[in-house]
Amino acid sequence: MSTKGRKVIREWFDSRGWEIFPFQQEVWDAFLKDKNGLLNAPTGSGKTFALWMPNLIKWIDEHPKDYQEKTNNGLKVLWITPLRALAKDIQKALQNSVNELGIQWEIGRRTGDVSQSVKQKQNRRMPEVLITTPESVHILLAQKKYERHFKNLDAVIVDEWHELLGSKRGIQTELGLSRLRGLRPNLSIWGISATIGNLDEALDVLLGPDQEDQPVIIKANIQKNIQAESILPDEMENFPWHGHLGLKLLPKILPIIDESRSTLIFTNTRAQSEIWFQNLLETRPDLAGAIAIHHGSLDRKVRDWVESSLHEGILKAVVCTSSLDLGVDFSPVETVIQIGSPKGVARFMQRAGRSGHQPGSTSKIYFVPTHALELVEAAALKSAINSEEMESREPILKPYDVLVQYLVTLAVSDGFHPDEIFPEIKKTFAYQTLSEKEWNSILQFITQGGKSLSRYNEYSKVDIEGDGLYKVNSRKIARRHRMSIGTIASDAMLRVKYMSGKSLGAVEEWFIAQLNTGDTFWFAGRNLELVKIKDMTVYVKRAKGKSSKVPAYMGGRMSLSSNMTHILRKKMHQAVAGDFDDIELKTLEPLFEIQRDWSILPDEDQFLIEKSFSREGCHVFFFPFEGRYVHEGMSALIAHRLSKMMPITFSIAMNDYGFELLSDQDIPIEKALVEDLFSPDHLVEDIMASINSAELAKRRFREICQIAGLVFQGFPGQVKSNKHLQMSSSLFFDVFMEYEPDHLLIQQAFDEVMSIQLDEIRLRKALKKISEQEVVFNLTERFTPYAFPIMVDRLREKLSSEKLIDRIQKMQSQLEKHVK
Amino acid sequence: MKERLQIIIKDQSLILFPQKALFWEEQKILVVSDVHFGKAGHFRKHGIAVPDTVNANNIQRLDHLIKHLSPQKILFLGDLFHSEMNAEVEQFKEWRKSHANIEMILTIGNHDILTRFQYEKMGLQCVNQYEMKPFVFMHDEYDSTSSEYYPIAGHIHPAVKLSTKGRQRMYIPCFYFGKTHCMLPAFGSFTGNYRIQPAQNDLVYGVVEERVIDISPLI
Repeated sequence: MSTKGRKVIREWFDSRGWEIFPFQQEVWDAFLKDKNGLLNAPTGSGKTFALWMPNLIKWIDEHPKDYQEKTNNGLKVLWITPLRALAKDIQKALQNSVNELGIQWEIGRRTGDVSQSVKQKQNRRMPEVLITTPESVHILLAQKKYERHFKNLDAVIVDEWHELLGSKRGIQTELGLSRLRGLRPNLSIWGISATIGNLDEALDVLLGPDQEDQPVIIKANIQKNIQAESILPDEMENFPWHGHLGLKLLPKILPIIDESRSTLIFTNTRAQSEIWFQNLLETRPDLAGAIAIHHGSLDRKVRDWVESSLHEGILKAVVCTSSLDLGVDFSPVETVIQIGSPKGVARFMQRAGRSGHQPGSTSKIYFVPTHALELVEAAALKSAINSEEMESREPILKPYDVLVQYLVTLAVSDGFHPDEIFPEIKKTFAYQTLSEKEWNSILQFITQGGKSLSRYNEYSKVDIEGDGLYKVNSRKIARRHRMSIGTIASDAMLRVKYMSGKSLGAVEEWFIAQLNTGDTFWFAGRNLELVKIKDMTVYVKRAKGKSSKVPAYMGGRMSLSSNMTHILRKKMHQAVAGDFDDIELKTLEPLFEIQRDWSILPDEDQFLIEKSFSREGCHVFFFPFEGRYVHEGMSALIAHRLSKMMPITFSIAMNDYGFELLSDQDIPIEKALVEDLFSPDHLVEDIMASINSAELAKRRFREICQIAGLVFQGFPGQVKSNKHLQMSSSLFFDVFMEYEPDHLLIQQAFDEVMSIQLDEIRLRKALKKISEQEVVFNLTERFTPYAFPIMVDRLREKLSSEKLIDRIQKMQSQLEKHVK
Repeated sequence: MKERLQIIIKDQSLILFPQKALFWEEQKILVVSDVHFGKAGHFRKHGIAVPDTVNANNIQRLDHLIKHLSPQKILFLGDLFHSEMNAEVEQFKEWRKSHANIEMILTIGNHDILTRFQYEKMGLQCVNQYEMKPFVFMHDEYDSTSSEYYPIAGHIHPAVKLSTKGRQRMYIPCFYFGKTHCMLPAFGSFTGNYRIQPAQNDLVYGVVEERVIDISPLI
């Protein structure tokens, strides 16, 4: 079927010398048949035009005579992207196309870094296309008379949907879409996703479970060649058994940087990126000016400069974090270096794909291990790339906190009627199972604070008006809510600025609290001296000489994906069986030998437990090789079961290979093993009890508190005007646990630990596997290569069945013995 | 059974209670700090849902102490109220009336933002600091150069960290008696703690469950 619109667009493609890819054509056809769907295509494949052009074709077909004349058409297309850095590029591409086609459409951007005056202009007159983030959509929904903005809306495109799926930002997107569909029932909705293990589910989550008209998934099927290579230590003897920085191999990447036009060096944390940048400069001062640093805490302007310099090809290398995982096309980048484990196949491939951006070219990635056993991961990653075993992004179900925030958002704007909103919410994937009862307790929470009115007297947030409209009337509450819309929990941040006013970025308040005036620290790739702290801003000047302090950033450590642990175990067992075909495993052979000498090398049918003693007390190590998350749950469970046998206190450490229980007293593991420590009986009860005693739920509660609006963080550079409303989430947790343990947000915290963090299903599977294995128990004299990296970890959990008073008296009596 | 601890400071007998209060035996003065009455209510008024039971708990503990000690005076070392007037402050007023025979004094703290007139009206004598040899009581601004009086203050909500074998760590709220001043733990049950690092020879008494114990040697 040829229409005017198609003709115009085809001619435009021709005039630019572009061909229309089959997958683009397929998307256009489906879109123009009013289908909804999901496009599976990688970055740089032409995915933007696949979903942009049909909007224009439709416009031209609707106004064949005057499509070039009509102005002020209202908001027609909403383009949602997870990363505001991407918004600018998309804006440019779209604006270019309409300009060349002579269509009078304005392409606008509305993200956190767009100025207030631009936003106000948009409020008066919306552009035809708005590129925005999930958060900004909700901020729009928090405006008075927001409905007027969407009267003409035809389509919503959700870019990089795989990035949002599986996070609370994804839920936020689902809720935003549910409202827009309520306003515009015939809205076209399309997602764009990279390859993940559960594309079908990704589509269901985007559109909701009940779709009358069968939506479609269209695959671009663009094969990308990835070449992965590990950087190997010359001598295994001197290579560390533990660590996460990887600086030991720094000299080996220098030639790679030299030979490549431009290189991206991915690290896993902001602190690590700062340290690598600093060390690169110290080793190779001649690179000053030619290398740069990029991470999420740097000022937008600093990052913009790095990105555009990369784009122009004037940087030799950039040390970065996941901040450069997505988006913008950096064609000059020829090589990618990954420092330390990327923890998942998809992330590794995504990063590799940042090089060799031109269609048909090969992406080159080097893996730099930070400690010996990570070489096994390198081998695992390489074989995973070949088989393209990609992770799934599991969607989150029914988080109350995001729903609470959304309902208050609606109440802040024009108010809402539950009868209208409840059915909309029920149509989303996340809340399809939300019961009437749960709904009512959420309404209760936002209107009266909790179940019993008497306990929450004087509570004021959302009022119920005479006609049943739920509305926020307090301007203060409305203002505070608008400022805290979002689902990314963060620590209080302070801006870092030069005395001249130039902003460098933001650092966590607690890091700065350890510093005094005159102290130096390393940030944004610069050595800085703290001059003064005023109004939530840290004023600094350039410092001379060396500095040692690098802001460490809090934040959970990532776990290997279950996909990765599966391949990892395969590689481990391959080595145990004597197959050293992989160069990485071959390199590790001496280490495996030591492990075999000092303990055993467990094979597929064996489960290894090691016990040893040191000055610190008794250590017991378990090696399930199931990834950090599963170990988190399993260690708490095992510690809990042991602690039921006797009063005992544990300090718990873990990595992706195993976990350690450490106690000041002997751990009766031998006895416990006889009594079936890994039994599936009473599993749920025991897990619940261990989650509680290991304070896992308490930590999870932090994020929930922020999203549900119990804790207000404020923003960098903003003076906290409401100090009297500051309280830590852990205090909230204690109060609720004491006075209202069935509080819905407390319930959510436990649910999240169970389903997201520990992944109960994975944990059960792992326990089942252990029960089928032979348990090998070894008393070791020294910490083995498997045990050592866990033992030295400072980041620890605790679990105790001893009374505090008994522990202190124990300390007292130890001291007395010592004195005698 | 809660266990108290008697100590002698500047030749005076001070009794430390696990309820986080101090009783000066010679003068029959009960000293409590940082109660933060009305904190939960203040949060609720601003759209943050905190259940009410916290306040009742504070009053119960005060009543218990009064019953057992029959103090002549109660000294509140600042931050008695968290913020402006609310229903919980009204509860306090009622409570105050039920103990009309006890003199109550408030040394003003940073959270005490009502007017002096309002405090006086509810039967609280209002001062910046309260001197009675050998001590001077206040919320936080003590002058450590004066040797005549030993300052006893609140404000900080002090706690100490104890570490022991097996990489174990515990945070314990405490009474702190240093060379230059003393700090009391926060009485309010809905308040956090701040970790202090005592110097050698400072005396630190930890509130551990139902007891107060000398933990100075463990730090």
